[in-house]
Amino acid sequence: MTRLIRGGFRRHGQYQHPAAPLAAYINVVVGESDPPRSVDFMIDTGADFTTLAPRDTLRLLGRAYGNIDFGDPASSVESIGVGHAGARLIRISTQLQFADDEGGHLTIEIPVAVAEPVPPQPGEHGNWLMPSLLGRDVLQFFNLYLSYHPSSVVLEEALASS
Amino acid sequence: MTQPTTVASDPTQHSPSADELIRAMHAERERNRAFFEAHCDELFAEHSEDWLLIHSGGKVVASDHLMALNDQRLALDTVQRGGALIQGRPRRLADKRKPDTGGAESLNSLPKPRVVRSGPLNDRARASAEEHQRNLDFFLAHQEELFAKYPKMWLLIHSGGEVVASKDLLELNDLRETFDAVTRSAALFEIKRPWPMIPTPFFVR
Repeated sequence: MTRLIRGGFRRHGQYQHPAAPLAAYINVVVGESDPPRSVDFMIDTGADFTTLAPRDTLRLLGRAYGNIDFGDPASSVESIGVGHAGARLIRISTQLQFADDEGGHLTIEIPVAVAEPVPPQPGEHGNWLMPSLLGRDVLQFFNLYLSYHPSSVVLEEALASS
Repeated sequence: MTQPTTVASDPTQHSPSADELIRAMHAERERNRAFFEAHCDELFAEHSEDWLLIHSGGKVVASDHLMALNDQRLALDTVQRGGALIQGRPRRLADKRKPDTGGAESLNSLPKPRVVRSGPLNDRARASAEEHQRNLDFFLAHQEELFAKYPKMWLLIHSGGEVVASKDLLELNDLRETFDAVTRSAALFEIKRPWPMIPTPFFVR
């Protein structure tokens, strides 16, 4: 039996475009801390890789986020299209845990991208407003079903990964 | 319908106990920072490729796995957790012999994504997920009134309907670090996006 992971459409305040206010989100546990820390990821089939947005990274890492050197050319990657502009990213290995609707979970080991905060100071500006993105590096393990009418967001575990 | 029960513009005024904890965290952070600045070069001479977790005024844990190191930070007690530092190697200490690969080295050296396991959720995970859903449901039901009442402020939403508003997200996060483990892990940060007025798309033929 394949697992079904359910998300939902949300009208999120911090990233609500007036022309298309609803976006598909999935709640995912990041890392292995106890208790688990979860992040709401916006499903983004246009994203090459899964990215943690500044607001969620601060929630996960605390002030350690401010100590990451995104200017180190050996570890950072330039990316385009993150938060309407280019951004520097570093990728860190972690686990993403998806809770299914039968009380179980599916865990994927993956390097996620952490975006440099632009500007560095938190506020209602820059990429501090962007959501975390669930990209194709994760979505490839699932079949994705989206329906606006009726509203439904489902990731089905792909047979190839079981 | 649950109403917001706690709102303060200054998170350090949230409660006397939280105020004391935050001051103790700041003192602990300064102690750790002073240790790091005094020993930075020797620490990175020994752990050139690692992240360093510095806590308790001079205890050091080194790892190349940032998230695992952060999991260790979260396991510390409230004051130490909030006061701990995680530091990467400063650029001035970077190995000059290594070529600038524009990030290609970083991309190529990382493991490919893979499914590692599956199974039942544990009770702590279930409690955290339920708490997260309670906070989210509360936020979605009240976001317009909250943003109208606290414009240009960050909102920390926890315990299914407690709201703290502040302009300083870092201070708000310090407050969140003082919560119990489940509440801390499930708390939300929100702020309204000031979208410019954009006409709704339309089709012509």
